[in-house]
Amino acid sequence: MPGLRVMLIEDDELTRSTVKEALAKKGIDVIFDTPHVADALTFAKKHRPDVAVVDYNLGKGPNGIDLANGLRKFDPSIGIVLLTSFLNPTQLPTQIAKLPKGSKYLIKHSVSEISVLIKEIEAAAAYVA
Amino acid sequence: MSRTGDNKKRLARIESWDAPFDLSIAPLLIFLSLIPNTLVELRSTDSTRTVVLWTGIKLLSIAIWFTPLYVLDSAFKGFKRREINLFLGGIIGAILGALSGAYVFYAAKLLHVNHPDENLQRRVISTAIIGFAWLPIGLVLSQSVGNIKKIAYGKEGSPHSLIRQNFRKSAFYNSYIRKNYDAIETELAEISYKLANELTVLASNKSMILSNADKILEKLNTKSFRDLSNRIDKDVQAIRQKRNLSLRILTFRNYVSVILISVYKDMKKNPLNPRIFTYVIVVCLLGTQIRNNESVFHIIVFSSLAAALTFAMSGLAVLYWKRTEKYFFEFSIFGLTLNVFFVYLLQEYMRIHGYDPLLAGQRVKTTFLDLILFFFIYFLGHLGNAGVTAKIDIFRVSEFSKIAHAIEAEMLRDQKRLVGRRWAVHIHGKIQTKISSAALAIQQAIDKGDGSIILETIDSIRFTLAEPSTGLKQVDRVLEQELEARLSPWAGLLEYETSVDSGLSSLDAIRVRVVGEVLEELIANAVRHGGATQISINLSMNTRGGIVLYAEDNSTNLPPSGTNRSVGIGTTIFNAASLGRWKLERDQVRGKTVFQMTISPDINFDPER
Repeated sequence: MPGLRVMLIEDDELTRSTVKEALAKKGIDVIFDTPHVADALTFAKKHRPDVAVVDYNLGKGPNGIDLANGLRKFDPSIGIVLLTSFLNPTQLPTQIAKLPKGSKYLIKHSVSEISVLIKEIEAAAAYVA
Repeated sequence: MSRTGDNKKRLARIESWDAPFDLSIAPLLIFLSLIPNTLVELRSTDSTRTVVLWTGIKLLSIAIWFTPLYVLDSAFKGFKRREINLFLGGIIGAILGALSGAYVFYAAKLLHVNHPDENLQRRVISTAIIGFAWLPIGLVLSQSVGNIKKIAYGKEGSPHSLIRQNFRKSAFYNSYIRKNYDAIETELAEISYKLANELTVLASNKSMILSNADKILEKLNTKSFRDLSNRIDKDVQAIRQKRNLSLRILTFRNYVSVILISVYKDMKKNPLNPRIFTYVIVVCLLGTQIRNNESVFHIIVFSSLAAALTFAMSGLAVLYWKRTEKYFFEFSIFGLTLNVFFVYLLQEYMRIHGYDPLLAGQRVKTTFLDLILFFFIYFLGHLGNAGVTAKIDIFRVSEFSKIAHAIEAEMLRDQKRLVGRRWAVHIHGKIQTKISSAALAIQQAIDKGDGSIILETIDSIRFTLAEPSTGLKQVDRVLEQELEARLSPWAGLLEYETSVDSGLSSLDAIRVRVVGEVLEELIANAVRHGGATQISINLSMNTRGGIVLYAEDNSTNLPPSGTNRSVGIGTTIFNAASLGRWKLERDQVRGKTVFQMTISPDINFDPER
């Protein structure tokens, strides 16, 4: 789905730049990338991206699910893809349950195969509030 | 059986328990008897050379006491009747005392020590009397020390609990002993928690890394985690050795302190102990008067009068104190000093009337030495009693100890849980992310045909795996910085305002981290579970040095009232930080959720370790 405007929130710089570059190569425009929740919210309010690709673990403070819920408060139709490397089965199911409706989540191992991520981004973008 | 019934039974058992007599205490016994003996010699002669040689000769007499007492030790333990043991102890003491007296007499002759006491018969009789008195006292003391030792070394209790139970409000405790114990307790707590933390971190580090090692090595077969594991094993071993050494030192210090505390406790209970005090003083006086006085009649009169005065003074002191229960320590000292003054008057009377020619002209010096002697005996009397009363504390201490151990175990579990969570988040969130990203970057570099990026990426990931804990250690911050670091990431999701008492500006790093960790959990819970968008936080210090945290937010989904103590990570952190002193309530009228917590001033829990 060409022309998708994607926002990337990831606190690891290597991951952020690598994913951004990989998506660009496949024709997906990452219009904004940041490690900070506050910056992401400010940008999203102003520019209304189609999809936010959000890392679950953003360090101290809010996590990716907190941000996803924050984004949906003012933009009910924004697509959400949550990236997580969390394989702990005791935590993940209860956390995933709190994701906004229509959100997709992806174990980070899969990111090394970028087509998997693109598929999830496209599915998230199709969400209609 | 009810818990109360169990306790009564246990208390009865403990009360009936006594440490066995221990004749191997002989060297201590001789040293103890040498102190009043030397004081008596000081009274009787003006020659320093004589006193020194005399004391030296007596020190050697330890051998006379020491060997047979060791031989007899096992025989004494066979008797079950305390009185028989004490009587036999007296007889043996008299025999050994007579032998010791004869030895001292001939040793003095041999060394040409010019001492006024030159009569063999009187010396032998006097030392026999002293031996008869001192050995049973030594046995009682050995038993008392055994009882105290039980507390000091026993597994059931800590001296710290004993102090907390009995001496919290006492002025004496606030001075010497408190300082001593606080230092020990602080040191012990610091060492224990530090080591527990280090062990926990290392153990978690090791188990986490090993459990992930196989997966990681499959991806990048470049770094062996076994080296790291071996290093951790060595560190753990070193820490354990250090801990054992520290505990040995602390145990010894505890033992000494418990003796002092038990004696003090007995002083508090019995300002002057009439029976023991009178007995020892009379025996000491009688034994030495026989050497110094020609007249048996005067010896009897002097000793009887001294005994009557001592008994009357100490008895009156006890009676007075039992009525008022005030100034026990001061009153003891006063009574003791007055007692010495009376003895001084008695001696003066005897000197003026020529009953005691050997002591002529030495009244001030004699009285001063008597005062030291009396204080010494006073201390010994209380030491004897302390051993008996200390037994009761085993029971109390064991109860406190159980609770303390339960809390300690709970806190250790909490620590492990929190450390485990941090490592899990770190390894899953950071290390695995880096590996996945590296794989993607390498794949892209291969597509591009850029070899330098491949090498750079591999170097980067090697560094990450070589130092897996990089980024996990927290920097120390002042409170304002910590609040900013914890709150600012929530900007955009949550409006916040803070108010911090100026008294908290110099808070130590550990408590700053505790406050930060508590706030982190509090805010996360309010946003995630309550949908909060506003929060106000107030931090202040109470009069006892505890940190009071009061927060209000506009959460909507929390329980309408009461407290929420279901066990999660947040609850674990709250309990560990405040020892359970926190509450979360819904204020229906104002539509606010209120959180209150007091972080203990003694907290040693460090969530970031």
